Amino acid sequence: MLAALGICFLSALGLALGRRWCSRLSPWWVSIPSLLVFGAVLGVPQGAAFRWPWLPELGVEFGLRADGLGRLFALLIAGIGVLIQVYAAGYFQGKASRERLLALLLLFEGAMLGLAYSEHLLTLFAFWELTSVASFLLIGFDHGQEKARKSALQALTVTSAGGLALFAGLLLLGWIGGTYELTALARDSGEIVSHPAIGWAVALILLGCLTKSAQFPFHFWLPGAMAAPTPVSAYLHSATMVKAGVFLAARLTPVLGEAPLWTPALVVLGSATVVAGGVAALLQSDLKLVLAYSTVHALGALMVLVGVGTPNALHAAIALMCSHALYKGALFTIVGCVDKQAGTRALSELGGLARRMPWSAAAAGLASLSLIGGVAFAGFTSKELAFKSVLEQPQTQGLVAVLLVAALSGGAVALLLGYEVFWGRAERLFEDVREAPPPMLVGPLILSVAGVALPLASGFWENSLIQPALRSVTSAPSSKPVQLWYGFDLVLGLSVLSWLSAWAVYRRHEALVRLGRALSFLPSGTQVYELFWKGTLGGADLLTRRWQNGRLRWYAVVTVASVMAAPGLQFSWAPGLPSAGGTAVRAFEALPVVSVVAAALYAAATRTTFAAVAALGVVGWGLAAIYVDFGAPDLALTQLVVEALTVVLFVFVVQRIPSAKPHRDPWRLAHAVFATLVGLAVAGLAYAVTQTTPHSKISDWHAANSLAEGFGRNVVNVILVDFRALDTLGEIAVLAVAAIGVVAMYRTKVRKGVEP
Amino acid sequence: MTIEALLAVTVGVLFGAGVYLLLRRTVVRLLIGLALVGNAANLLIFVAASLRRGVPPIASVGETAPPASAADPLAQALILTAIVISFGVLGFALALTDKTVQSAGSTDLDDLVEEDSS
Repeated sequence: MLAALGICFLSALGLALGRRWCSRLSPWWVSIPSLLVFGAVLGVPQGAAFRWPWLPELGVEFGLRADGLGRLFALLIAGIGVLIQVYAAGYFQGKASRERLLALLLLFEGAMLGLAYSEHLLTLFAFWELTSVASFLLIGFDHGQEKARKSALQALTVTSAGGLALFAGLLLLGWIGGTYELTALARDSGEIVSHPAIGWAVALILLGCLTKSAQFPFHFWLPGAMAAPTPVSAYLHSATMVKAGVFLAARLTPVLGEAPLWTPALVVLGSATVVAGGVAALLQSDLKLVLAYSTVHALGALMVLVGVGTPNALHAAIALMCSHALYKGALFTIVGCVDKQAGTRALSELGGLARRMPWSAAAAGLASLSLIGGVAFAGFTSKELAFKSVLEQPQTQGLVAVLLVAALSGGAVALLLGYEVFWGRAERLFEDVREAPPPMLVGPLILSVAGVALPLASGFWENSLIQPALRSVTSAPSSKPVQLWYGFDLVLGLSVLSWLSAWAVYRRHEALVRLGRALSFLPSGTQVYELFWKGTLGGADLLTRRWQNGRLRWYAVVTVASVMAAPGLQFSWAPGLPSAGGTAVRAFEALPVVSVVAAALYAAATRTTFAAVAALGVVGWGLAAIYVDFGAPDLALTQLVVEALTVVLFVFVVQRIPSAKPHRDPWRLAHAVFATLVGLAVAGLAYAVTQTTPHSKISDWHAANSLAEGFGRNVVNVILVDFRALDTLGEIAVLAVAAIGVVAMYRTKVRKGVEP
Repeated sequence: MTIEALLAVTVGVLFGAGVYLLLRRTVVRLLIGLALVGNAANLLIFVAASLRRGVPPIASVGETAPPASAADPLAQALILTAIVISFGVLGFALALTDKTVQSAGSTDLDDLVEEDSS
């Protein structure tokens, strides 16, 4: 397992660093790392595990475990990875960016493998985010094009917003279950699903799954992501990344399968995705968009099956995941071949390419037969299983209609790709078109042949791939194994119905494309997304202008109000103040206190600046008297000196500057109310503090040690110059800086009326 | 009425008056408010430590430590630092105000904003 991950990340790094040297190699040679990865993945035994304490303080662990589902998913990723990388190396042969693409593909492959093998929820999340980042880089690979950059950003925004929700959901799930280990969580599933907060966890986790797997209403980013080079689309958007959401849903089925919201949400949104994707696929004329939307509806069908969650439905989901990866990977790569060789992806122009590109035509034919669900193909088997699994329960029988839509749309897409492009009639004759080079044909051929071979080797498919995966999702056995042929029954009838209707739809495809163009005025997901984007930016702008208005007084209000919010709210909720008694006031003490209060109020109320300054002085001297009274002669001395200096400075400045013009201040009353509230909150806070028992070990320690260690009898002085001498040095530095600042200001000459 | 309650009210009044002055349009008022808030914060720290009358934290000759009834030395050390620093800040702010008003010709904060942006 570690070997597979290590090879991925190291060879990605190697390719990125040594791209100058690697560019001389043929397509076959640069694909060797992916082959090594595939070998390593094949060699991973069932149940292999790895644990490494990542952040033990926080209970975060790098935990991997290869169970059946993980192994199957890893096998798909690594196997298709090899073929895609050979294909990509051929597709980009002779281009400078080839090594960069391969390095990114390997990076992405490593992230996906890590996701497949993750046992610890937070490890899983780390790899999940890594796939989002890698796919951002891959979609935006043609970074010279604005469309590619925009689509990449859109995909990143949607998937990472989902990732954020997923993170919150996983944390919540870990908190509820008391562990982040998947196996332990599955064991305690019964308790977890009855926890009152589980609904939130389910909703947040599903948000992550749905965005990643391009489910309705987040499906719009996937067609946009088709701006990526075709090998990337084939890899990310057929076999791997978009299936990560389905994979995670299947992964968490043992834990959350019985939780409220899980089944209805998956089934309803999955069905909506099937319909939205299925209809949209038929309205397109660009081959890649056709495939993109058909992937959307296939993902929807997978989500529905996982949501139904019976052993047979999960069995069908796993089988469909395999067969979909095979035929969709093949079809995407063939579309890439056609695009590259014929120079267009428009359905209206293409036709009759079979004579020019026989191998591509063969691969496309096989893959299309699997997609349409031709008897004895992998697609047929998985579709039969899907129909049977929803038919066995009365409450899920309605979903037959949804699956029928998926089958119909898939069938029509298969006819368009497998028949129309290669055998249909076209106005243009592709005389000069030649077959794609061998590296680009290996992938589609192997994938499409595998679609036939798997059902033929149905024992291997069932026992070595599907059953181990199924056992890690559900403990109950499934009743229907994969077979080549299930006999004449209702389900076969449904299949036949889907074939016939697919044919009918295919015949009217041109009309549908025209309808699609006519409907393009309808708001699309992308437009909603852009509206949201603009709204966010505009809102931020408005907020900034409102709050950062450049007026000092407004800032002061906001700052003071924020600071005062905590004590203020505390007192407005619990107005009672604690009372632990205190010391009675002596008569002479009233004098300084009353003079301080009176002077402060007078300073606030008076309109004469000099009077306010004088009042400030009275406040200072009153405070000095209070300090003396309560055993702080040092404070009193300092306060007296500083207050005298302050008053002198104020008088010096006030007499130099012109007196303010008399003005009306509309805010005066509001500010007075605000200040009164602040004063009340602080007074309450101060009183509450005096009523708690003050106990400072630090003070006691200083008092006991000042003579012994600091050789001074005045504890305050010893603290300042000995125990906290560094703080005092800082204080002196502040004073020195202020003094230097003042000197510098008075040294520079300011010309009146000219901006400095 | 206890002395704790009385001083708590004093802290509140000082803060209230200080904040009100901070919000005035004239620069000098703002600075007076700043000085008041500084004094209020010092008194708040002083009140928060236990109030004990008349016994400074000084060890008399022959003793190794101040008497147990002495005032809290830590709060005093903190306030001492705070007094000096707020004086430094205030002095700098006064000098800055002086120079700003000399160059801009106004003591009105709202006017100063408009000059700034123009």
